Amino acid sequence: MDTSTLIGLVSIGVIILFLIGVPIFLVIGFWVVGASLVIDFTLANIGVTLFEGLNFFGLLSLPLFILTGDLIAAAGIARRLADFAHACLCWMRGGLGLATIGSCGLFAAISGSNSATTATIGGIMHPLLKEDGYDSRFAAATAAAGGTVGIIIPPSIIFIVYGFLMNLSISDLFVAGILPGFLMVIAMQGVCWYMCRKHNWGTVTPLVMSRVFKTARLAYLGFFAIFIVIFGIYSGIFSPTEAAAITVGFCLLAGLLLTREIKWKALPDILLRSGQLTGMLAPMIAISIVMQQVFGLLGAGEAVAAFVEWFGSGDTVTLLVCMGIVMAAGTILESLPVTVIFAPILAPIAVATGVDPVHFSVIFLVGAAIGFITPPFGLNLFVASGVTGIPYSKLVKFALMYMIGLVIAWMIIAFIPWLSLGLIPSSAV
Amino acid sequence: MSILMAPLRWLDDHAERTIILIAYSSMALIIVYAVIQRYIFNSQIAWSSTIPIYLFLWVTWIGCAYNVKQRTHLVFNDIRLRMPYGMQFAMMWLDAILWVSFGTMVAYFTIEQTQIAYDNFAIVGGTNDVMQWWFYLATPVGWFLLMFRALQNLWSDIGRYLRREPFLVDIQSIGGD
Repeated sequence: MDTSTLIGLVSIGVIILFLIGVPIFLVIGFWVVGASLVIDFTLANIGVTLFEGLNFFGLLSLPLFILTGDLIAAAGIARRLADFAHACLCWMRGGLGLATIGSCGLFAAISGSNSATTATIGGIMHPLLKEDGYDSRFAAATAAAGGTVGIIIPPSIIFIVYGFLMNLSISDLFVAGILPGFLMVIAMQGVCWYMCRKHNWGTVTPLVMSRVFKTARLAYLGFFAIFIVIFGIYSGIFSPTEAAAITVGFCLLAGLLLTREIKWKALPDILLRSGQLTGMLAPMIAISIVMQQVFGLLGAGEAVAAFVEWFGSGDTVTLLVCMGIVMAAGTILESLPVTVIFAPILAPIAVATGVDPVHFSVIFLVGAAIGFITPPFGLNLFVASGVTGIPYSKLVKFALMYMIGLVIAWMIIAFIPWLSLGLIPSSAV
Repeated sequence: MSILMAPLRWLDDHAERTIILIAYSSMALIIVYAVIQRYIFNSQIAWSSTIPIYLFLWVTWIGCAYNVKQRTHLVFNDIRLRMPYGMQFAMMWLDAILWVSFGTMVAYFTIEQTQIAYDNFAIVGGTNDVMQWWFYLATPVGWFLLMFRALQNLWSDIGRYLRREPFLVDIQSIGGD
């Protein structure tokens, strides 16, 4: 049998492993082993890369931003941000729903995780939304949808992974995510406002400026953390790792000394939870580096490029096909495997047609983020279901409404590069 | 006998937790201190950019073993959830076999790398006497622990099967929440 047939058989084998529920790390690992044996590539490379692949200082921002997410939730900073968002938006129909999405955006500007955003904001806002007369399924779907900006608004754990894998500046990626993340928030708030108006959900209360100022004063710790991350990285004062370190230190001190909601006794559990997530993400990064090497040896990029060209030539068709592949993958995979498997294949194809690599990273990851609320595997829907107790299947209908808004935002982001590149100081659009 | 068992039981419950706590907090503290030192005191410890990377290796691979213990690695489990009971039991065997076979290979090659660092007296950059192999050990140790946890899970699954109890196939990995 020739090499391509054998690689095809290996791929079918691991797809079966994936479908029967074998951990995705092993699925990728065994594909790498099988493909390496087929092309006679030494298996020692796997050992060496799992060893050396993570040896990069910039990657340390990953565990630090994971820890930041856990610390701001434990320190009560997230709740204060949510109070502020509600005080600002209570005068609109569906104000509490809009505030839920706005809070997700604020939380995402300190934390880098979609699931942490959904779980934290969903846990705080869902009981309030129910109390205010919202359909509890819609309320849970709102938290799930809002969480999608967790990986787009900087800092973002997945942007770190993407930048590391594709050799792009993590600072540039973070800055590139600011406006698209903001646009996603606006799009979801538009859907929320429409739904609340249609169903007459929620109460409308007058805007009280004293309440806005009071909640803003209480939320100052959150604003300061956002300032450290966004301004520190944007201005070039801090690298992402340094910004992450400063934010960790700040959130820890704030939780211990100012809000006093973090107890010394709770610290080991917070660290263990962050360590557990690091132990899930970092091994996937390491094994995907080996997979990239094997892809390179196999010429996988050329094969996928030929597949994309089969749909037609032209920049727009190529970009739309790439987006379609990301969307399809996102319906059954979490953003990390989507990124580690498809980014090394699709990014060179899109870049070859003239798309800026940083712009494509945003297009790619917004698509992966939409996957968080698309069935059958919508991770944020699982998280929202777990936090609110609403069955997964009942969230799907409402989540699809948000998906429409997000897909419109995605198209705008894809076809207006300025949104991603306009704020990057070194970029000329 | 119980005197012997008590420390073993403690290790079984706390091994990953203890290592993750030490490595994670040391890593975070060194980086935070180094950033403060650089911006406020205009100086830097030479090893502040090398040791944290190695501590990250310990967090990564021990965390990986901890996820096997907790069964929280990312999976697509829609089909497995719908499988008949006997089939699910077969899947538990498959998971354990795959973890152990992949782990054996990784452990073999990473021991080789650790041995090379040991034989060459390789020293961590920015230090005079901190040996690289102390940190390189993270990968083989993590994978041995991981294989042990996979077998432990299989053992408890066999117990569940004999008692006809449901298997733990519906744990969702929700990113540390």
